[in-house]
Amino acid sequence: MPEAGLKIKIIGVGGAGTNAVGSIALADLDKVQFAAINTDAQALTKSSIKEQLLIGRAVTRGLGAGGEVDIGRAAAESDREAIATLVGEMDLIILVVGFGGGTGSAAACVVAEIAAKTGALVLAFATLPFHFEGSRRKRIAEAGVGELRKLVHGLIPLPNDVLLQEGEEDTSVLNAFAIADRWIGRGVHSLCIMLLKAGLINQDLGSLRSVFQRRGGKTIFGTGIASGGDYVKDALDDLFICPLLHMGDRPAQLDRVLVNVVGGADLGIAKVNEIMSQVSQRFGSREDIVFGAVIDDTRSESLEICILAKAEMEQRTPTKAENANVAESSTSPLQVLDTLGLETDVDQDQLPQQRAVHISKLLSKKKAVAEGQDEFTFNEEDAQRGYFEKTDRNVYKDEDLDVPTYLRRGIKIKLR
Amino acid sequence: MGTTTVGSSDSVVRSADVEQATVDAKRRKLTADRTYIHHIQNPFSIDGQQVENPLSKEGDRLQVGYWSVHADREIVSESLRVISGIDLEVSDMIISSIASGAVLLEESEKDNGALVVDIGGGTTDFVLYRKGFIVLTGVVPVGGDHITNDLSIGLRVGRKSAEESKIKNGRAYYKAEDRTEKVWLYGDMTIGDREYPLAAITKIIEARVSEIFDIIKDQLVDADLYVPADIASGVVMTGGTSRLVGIEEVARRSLGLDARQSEGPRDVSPDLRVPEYSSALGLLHYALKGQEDEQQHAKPVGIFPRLRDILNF
Repeated sequence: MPEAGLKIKIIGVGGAGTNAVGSIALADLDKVQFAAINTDAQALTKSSIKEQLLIGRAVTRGLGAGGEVDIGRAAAESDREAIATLVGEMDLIILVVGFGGGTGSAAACVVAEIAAKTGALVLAFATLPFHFEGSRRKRIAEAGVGELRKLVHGLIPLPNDVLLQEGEEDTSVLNAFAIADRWIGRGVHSLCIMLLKAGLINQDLGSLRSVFQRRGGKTIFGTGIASGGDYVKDALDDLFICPLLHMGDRPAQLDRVLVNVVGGADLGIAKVNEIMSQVSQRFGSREDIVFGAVIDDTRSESLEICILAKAEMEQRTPTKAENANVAESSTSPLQVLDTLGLETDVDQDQLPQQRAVHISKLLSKKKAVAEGQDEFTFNEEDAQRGYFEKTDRNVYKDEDLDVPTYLRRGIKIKLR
Repeated sequence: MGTTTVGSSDSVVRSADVEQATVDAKRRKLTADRTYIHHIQNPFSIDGQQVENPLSKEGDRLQVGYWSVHADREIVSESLRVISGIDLEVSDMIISSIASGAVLLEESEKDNGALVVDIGGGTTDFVLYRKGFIVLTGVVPVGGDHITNDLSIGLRVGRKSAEESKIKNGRAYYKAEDRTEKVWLYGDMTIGDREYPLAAITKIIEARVSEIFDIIKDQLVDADLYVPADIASGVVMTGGTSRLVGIEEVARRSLGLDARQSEGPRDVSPDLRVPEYSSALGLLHYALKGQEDEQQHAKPVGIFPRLRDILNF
């Protein structure tokens, strides 16, 4: 039965997040609430979102955080009460944030902390800056996402470099940002429609909570979409090569998998069974996969598949090589942010030859393997490095050489 | 670079002066966690003129340069410990790029200047010869494994398939025609086999390979050694990854020098003249040559003759 009383709120934090939320069209899901939180008054007036909160008026006078994380953080801290009022008492809160700047990167953690305290299920979509935006934004983004990950039940990272691969050959920068908005829209839409509409196979908030049981951990997200022709096969193919599922950081074991399928009236049980069996083969997990299927009457001969999976954090003793503090304590984000040194500054001063090169990689890999296959470091830095995930970073002139060159240079690779 | 003023009143260079200049050249102190592993001597010069042997020559200023390579002390001792742990004694240490360079180049190529690039799985080592001397060595921490990893992520396949794709369909540079040419992932009728444009493979590989050469060029430029006229014999490539079709072309484009794949060391059996063995053969050659010099044309004993036979040296 559809959860008539289900309260869902989608909150955009910071400029990018607010833009993304503003572009989400949930035509028939008017139960969902939207809100925007920003330090930039002008950006808020331009936004189509009705419920808005300007934070840090005392700190920035409505002029934005200017890319400064400290200012963003101070702004959020200064308006905790107002944020709490906006967050309210919800069943599900979805935060949408663009990391790299001042407001999103810092304020999102404060909002998440407040939201989680209300007992709501808190998920977050976080975009990561393009390579060409420079290393400063990258460092800010990595630190911010690493922090937010621990505070929410599921964090879906969306590296812009990877999303760019789904755009057209001649995608301009503006288009590129719009691509991220589209992906966020798809994810949010899939979640909401699953929760709010009666389905062929019904899933509800309880199912979602069973996937996202604890805070922290790693969330996998991917979508596939197709229409016309053999749309079931096409949508599955699309899902299997979704770039977000191939960033080289797939955990060895997925604890919980949720797959939601949205189709037109022509989506019968037979097709759904076919989809379920194909997906099960691909993403086999320890527990059974939780399946949802929803009919959307406005569609026909089209299919959208969305997969959300969670790999929880394993308990293990921190090693010397550890950067992040991964204890599930109730330390405030501020304290933890302070203790998180950004040691990449040191790398920039060293000559390339002074970095112990391939020998160090062998050593680190051996160490990591010895500590058990279940581990993964939870550093955002390690995403997109694939084979080299557990080795030291390979920094040369501010670039991590282990990240694929084509990604760093924004070269689009078409697979069809 | 070490400098000394010729001590004696008659301005003739004596061994004490050579000693002084050498000490001066090597005096640069390292931080506590680093250790020197190799000093490669560059030519002496007297009053700015390069000389082969400075002793007994006349002049006021004696200079000698060393290309010194240092490494992380802990990493080096770990490596040495590993070997002594299996009861083998380490008698010498050498940088693999020097080993390859020494064994792959003719004397004439060293004199004309050449850049030997050994592209292995994990790293790319290079050594630059100029006027017969080694003037620069370097390492780029990128190798064939990175190409495979890039393909794995870019084509969205596992590492093994990516590696096979690289070997079967890979080319180091992209051509416009690749866009319409399709290749199969497995190509053996397995279920789940996928077809994709060759362009996907070649664009990914070209980006990575050209970056490796761009970094090498950067290092040459930073050391003021990017002088094509002094690298007349061009780029000589070796290492497993040098097998990649079209890699000479990418090297040519990035480095602006002639480039070719090495045929391997001269006096070695054909089975061993394979790019993957250059480093190892270089090490052997270096070790054996060292033994030869030591023994001063004395009759070789022990393992030496057996090795000679096996390797056709």
